[in-house]
Amino acid sequence: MLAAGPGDESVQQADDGAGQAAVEDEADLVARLKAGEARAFEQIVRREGGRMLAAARRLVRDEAAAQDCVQEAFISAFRHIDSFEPRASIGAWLHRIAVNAALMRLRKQRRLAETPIDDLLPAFDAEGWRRDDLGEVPDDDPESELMRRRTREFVRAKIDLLPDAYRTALLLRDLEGWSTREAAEALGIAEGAMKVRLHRARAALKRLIEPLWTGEI
Amino acid sequence: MGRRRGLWGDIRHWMQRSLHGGMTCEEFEAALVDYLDGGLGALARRQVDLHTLTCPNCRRYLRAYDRARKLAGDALRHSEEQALRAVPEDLVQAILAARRVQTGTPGGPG
Repeated sequence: MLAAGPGDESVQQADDGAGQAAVEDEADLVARLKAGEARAFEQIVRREGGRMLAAARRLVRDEAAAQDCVQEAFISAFRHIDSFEPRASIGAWLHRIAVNAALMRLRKQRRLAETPIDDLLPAFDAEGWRRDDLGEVPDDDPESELMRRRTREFVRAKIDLLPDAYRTALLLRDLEGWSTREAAEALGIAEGAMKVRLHRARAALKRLIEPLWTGEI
Repeated sequence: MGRRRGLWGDIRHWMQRSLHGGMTCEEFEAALVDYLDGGLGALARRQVDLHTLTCPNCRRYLRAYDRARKLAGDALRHSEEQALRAVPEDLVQAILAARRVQTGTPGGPG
């Protein structure tokens, strides 16, 4: 292990100082929001709006609808700002409200019903043994930035092919980092059903992106 | 519907299952979400581990499945980062205008 150098302590103090300042800024911003200060509202919209819009866009896949979700989320948040307790950051709180607004929209549009994707799921024989003889997955990730970017684009395009019910399950668990219980509650389904949906989403995506390691693209 | 295999079929199935960690590939598949979440008990986890060791197809399947999961997370996070850069100005103004309506405050900055 390396010994701490004489400069390390001051770097650590500087980091601690920056962290403390960020906490104070956040507390100050929340206080100003609770006091109804107009500039604070503009500040938080500009600071958090992009992230919220990205999340809503990814879920509803329509720019106008995503912007509506973000607007609804902010209006709802502003109305309930007094009940915000800083256990989480205000950004995380707003983000969750925006995701819930997008999910609500999907539910209202009845876009979250499961549709068959059997062609993309693994097949088993009558005894429960796997039918497919699978090939090896190479260890290495693409080395160049160009290839990494192409891989990401390819994967995103395949995610977009998943029906909404599965895509949503994947987004909530593997991007938003929600627990199975949280995602199940938000989608209005049982935890067991959520696990099945997530598993099918991942299995279908695996099938769709296999060309990445079979050399077909 | 029950699976009819006869006595020898049952014995063969039972032996094959025992040799693969006490689970079939289909049961292995059904346990994957909990397995990757760390949500299985010690015995069930050991079963999945043993099945992975003894079934080359499921071993390769698990690698591909886990790889797909990570690639999806990476692809989505990256697109989020790119999207963070800008909030459309008309959206900002629409939100602030809606708030003014909500609170009954007059228009204009500040």
